[in-house]
Amino acid sequence: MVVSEPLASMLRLRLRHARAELNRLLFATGMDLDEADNLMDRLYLLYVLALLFVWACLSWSALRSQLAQTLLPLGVEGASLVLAALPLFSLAYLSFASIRSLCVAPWTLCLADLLMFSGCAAATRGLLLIELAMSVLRASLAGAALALLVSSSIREAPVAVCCLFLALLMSASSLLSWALGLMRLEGGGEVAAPLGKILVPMLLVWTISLLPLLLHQALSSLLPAVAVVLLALLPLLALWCVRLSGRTCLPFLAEESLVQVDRRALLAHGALSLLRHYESLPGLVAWVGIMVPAGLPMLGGRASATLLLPWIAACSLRSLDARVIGGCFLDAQELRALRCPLPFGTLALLFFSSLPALALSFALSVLSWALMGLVAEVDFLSLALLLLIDLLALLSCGLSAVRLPITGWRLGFELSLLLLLGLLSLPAVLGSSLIACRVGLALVFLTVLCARFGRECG
Amino acid sequence: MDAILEARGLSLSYGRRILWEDVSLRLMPGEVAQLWGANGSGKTSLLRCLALWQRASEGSIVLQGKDVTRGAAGCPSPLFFVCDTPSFYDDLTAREHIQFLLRANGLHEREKSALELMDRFGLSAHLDVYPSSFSRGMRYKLAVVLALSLRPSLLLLDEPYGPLDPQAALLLGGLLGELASEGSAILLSCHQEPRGLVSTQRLELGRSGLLRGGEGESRGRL
Repeated sequence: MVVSEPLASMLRLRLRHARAELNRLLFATGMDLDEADNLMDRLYLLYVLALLFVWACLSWSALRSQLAQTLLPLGVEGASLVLAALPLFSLAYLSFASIRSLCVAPWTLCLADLLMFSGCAAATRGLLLIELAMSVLRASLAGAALALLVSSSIREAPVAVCCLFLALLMSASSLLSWALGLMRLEGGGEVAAPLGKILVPMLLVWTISLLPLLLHQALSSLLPAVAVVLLALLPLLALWCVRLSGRTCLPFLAEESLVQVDRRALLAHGALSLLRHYESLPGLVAWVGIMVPAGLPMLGGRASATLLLPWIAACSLRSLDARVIGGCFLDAQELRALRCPLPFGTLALLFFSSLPALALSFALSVLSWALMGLVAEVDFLSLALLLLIDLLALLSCGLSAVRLPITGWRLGFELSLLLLLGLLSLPAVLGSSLIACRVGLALVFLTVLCARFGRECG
Repeated sequence: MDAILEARGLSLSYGRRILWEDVSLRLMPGEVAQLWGANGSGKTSLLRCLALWQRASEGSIVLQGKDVTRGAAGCPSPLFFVCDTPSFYDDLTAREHIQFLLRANGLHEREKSALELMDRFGLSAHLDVYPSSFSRGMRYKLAVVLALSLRPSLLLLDEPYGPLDPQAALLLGGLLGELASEGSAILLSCHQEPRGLVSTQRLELGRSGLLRGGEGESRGRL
């Protein structure tokens, strides 16, 4: 059988999935592609598409004029600097995608894929290559769109070259992150060797990304030359990825895919648990909306630090409300018979089972911060402190489930929360929100380390 | 004659917990083996490892003389694993699943026989229905039809007699016998005597730690 046949079949399958996805989106407009078989239905579909197109054009135009107004006061020099800083977007994407590739596979199989192509390298490779192509296309389109938006808002900017440059840079970033992920899949999860192999091309792309910022005076003459270098680099990176895709360790990919499925199941369980324990939601609202914001003036040095002790005591008394954030995790910990077979470490279980509650807490925190802004002057650091306290409450749940490294001590949830809030309050005497935020971040880091390296106990 | 499947010194552990270790087994063409064991003894995990859905902590898997520990190279897929609750694409009907799988493996000509199998399992009225609305038994039947249509060299089935009704179980026994007579090897985990299946080797993955085979080829320790 020819190699291209599985690829063609996989392509048809992915097109079918894309069509189903489009159908789901069109459902909101009352359309169904499978039932649009008469003239009136097709006309309505055209009408809906035209409407969406007009809406997209108007939104784009509004965004552009807003950006042009924002950039106007910067002058020619400032605008040129903004243009030169555009590749930093690609750099951020490369960093994010690479870190992600080091943690999980760049793409995973769904359960139906596993059933249909169990262990078949040709089919899995076909799926991998299609996803790779889609990923590169998405990245390059995002880069081109961003470059178009920014460069067309600046007078006399080389629009076409900017778009081409950022699209190429984003494609290279996407390919590099995929190469890293594929090497990790090849080595069955090993990270050190892939990092060593990717170092040179990664440094090259980093340098190319930073060049426009370093030499922005010569931007217009520099960009076409660097674009040519990128054009030469892209086929090499693509060929590298294609070669790597044939060396994937399939059982490892299947394992990573099943972990993704399990993570989604944990998320769903977390959301369901939050909904079903609706009686505890008022407590969570009270914690996030009243207890936590009440401490902000003291932590930020806007009120007397002597009020901190009563605040910590009140928080401690209402700790049951804070427990709701990690309630699903704590329930799983108590049911040892159910906890043992779950294929997750403490941190992963804590994070994925509590993510819905944490997201709700964050949303409520933002709301309470916005409401505070109506009656008093609050800054972004206050919002950061609110979110950090939510996170520390969640991590207190994690701490309660482990014996601490080295000492072997086990702190309960209440004691952990008390301890963390106490430590967070210490820099309040200095009267700075920024210092409190830094201490909060350090506490989050330390607590994560303790939960990661502590021994989970029943 | 070469063995279809040869697993050597497989072991699986989660953290410090060893589920089983030093499991070796060998399946010859036309051989049907039953995998017995208590709940939680690791039958499903062993099948997953053999199906390349999961890495064993140690050991190697050889399929038709080729080491496939890192994945099988060719298509049509030489092995098919029917897990206990099969999942399907939610945008393809049962008929489209059959068509897609056969086309992807270059086996268009088997579509008619696959549809006949659907009929024999009583699913012909559900051909144009999305499998997401199927019961567990119907899903299992569809997965079995897909597996039998491909006629893989190695068929792995996880507890096939749990979700099936007695009539379908009897039919499955006969069909597995036919597949084995064509030279495929079959390994199925079960808690009860398989209906309609004859001359099968019985392997036990039990507390004693032994995986016993009729020919003494298969062994292992928990």
